[in-house]
Amino acid sequence: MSPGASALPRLGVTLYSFTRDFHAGRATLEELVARVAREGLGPGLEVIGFQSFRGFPHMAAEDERRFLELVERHGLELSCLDGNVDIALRADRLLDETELVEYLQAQIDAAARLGFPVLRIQNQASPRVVERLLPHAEKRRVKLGMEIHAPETVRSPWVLALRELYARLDSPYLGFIPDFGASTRGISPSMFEAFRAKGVSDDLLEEIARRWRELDGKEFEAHEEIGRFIALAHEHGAGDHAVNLAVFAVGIHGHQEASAWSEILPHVVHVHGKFFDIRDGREPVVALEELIDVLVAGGYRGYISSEYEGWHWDTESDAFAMVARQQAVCRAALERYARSS
Amino acid sequence: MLGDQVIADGSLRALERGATFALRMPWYRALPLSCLEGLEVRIDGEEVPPETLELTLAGRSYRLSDLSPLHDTWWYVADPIEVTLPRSLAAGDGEHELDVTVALRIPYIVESGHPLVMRERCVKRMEARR
Repeated sequence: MSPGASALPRLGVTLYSFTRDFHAGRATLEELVARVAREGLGPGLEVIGFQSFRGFPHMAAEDERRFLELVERHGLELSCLDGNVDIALRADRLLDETELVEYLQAQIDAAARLGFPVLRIQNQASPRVVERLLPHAEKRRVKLGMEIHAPETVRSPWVLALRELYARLDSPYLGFIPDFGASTRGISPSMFEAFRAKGVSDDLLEEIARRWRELDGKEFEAHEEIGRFIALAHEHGAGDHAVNLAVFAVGIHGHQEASAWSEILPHVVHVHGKFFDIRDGREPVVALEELIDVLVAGGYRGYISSEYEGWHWDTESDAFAMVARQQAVCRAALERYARSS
Repeated sequence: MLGDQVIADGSLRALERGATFALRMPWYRALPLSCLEGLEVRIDGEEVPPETLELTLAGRSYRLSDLSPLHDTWWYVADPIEVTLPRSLAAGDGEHELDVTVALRIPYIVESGHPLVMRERCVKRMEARR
């Protein structure tokens, strides 16, 4: 890699993009990794622990060895291991702080054994839990990356609390993972098309689009708003589609301005390049070029991990081809900088 | 999520007594059995009493009422649960309609102390194999 190019963010992919193929048994973990390499979708490789590894975070040593051999053989680079903060693991009560810290320490250990530089964590880890995890993360040399996912933003109260904590503790092992889906310009047209094909009325889809635009710039509680969208969908007779429509509309299409990511950029340790579709050489609702401009201008030099999520409703498209198309857009945006530097 | 893949295609089988089908995780990742909060099965329009369903995973069998304490028993995303229902089907008697709804607690999505419970419904028609 030329010195010019290494001064820019690098591309990669999360295997979450290929969930539909993996879940349907059309591809094994080995086959997914091999195809990522063959189709040039790396070098960054991101994996969800509880998806790709049986027994996570306590995998069989033989499985770990085979995975590392696989990554090595295909010349990929481990970018991020996605952990999960399963505070409601038990049916009878939420985990207490100490139980949650132990639950996550095991995931930090898994990341360290495999050599992932970052463990993705989620907002059920309170600032107090994050603070208690930090010594373990530092010891195992794994950065904690708190994901900021739609409909949350860099100004959500819990994010502000973490920003304060990060300022106070000042450790390179504490960071954020922006998800591009938090800053979309609308609901993906491919989602509307898929639900229209399932028989959902145009009236309802137009109303969902209108209500979504009304949320622009507003502070709201995700579950309350999802509840309102579910009620709306039921009023229009959406039946079994009501919950998915609401969760997809509110929960994966966010309203944050792309430029707002610059507020937390010094703490960004990884990026989820979320997208839903690419048509005519562009993502209809995720402003990839603008987001990349914000990252580069703010000095971000880590991975942009392509995360295709249109598979929820698009059951036909080839997820690998989608990722290749999205990376072509990202690569073109990055090359403008490579040329000008 | 992945509602169309919840009943594994072609998995309906007629047994000596009863019938089975393969239930797939309606989520992208492994979850413990304690997160499986409900399972409703209708076959040819008729509801199967939930307490009569038997779930088999990794060689062990459970009733729905056994699941809530099992937060250390993991349902890996690639593994089907075999669901046995006390409904006799004759192989070769044509297509049956299987209508399955799963309620799944998502343990990392909690709002105001309440975990999100997703309900995913899958309806498929298929012949029973022996």
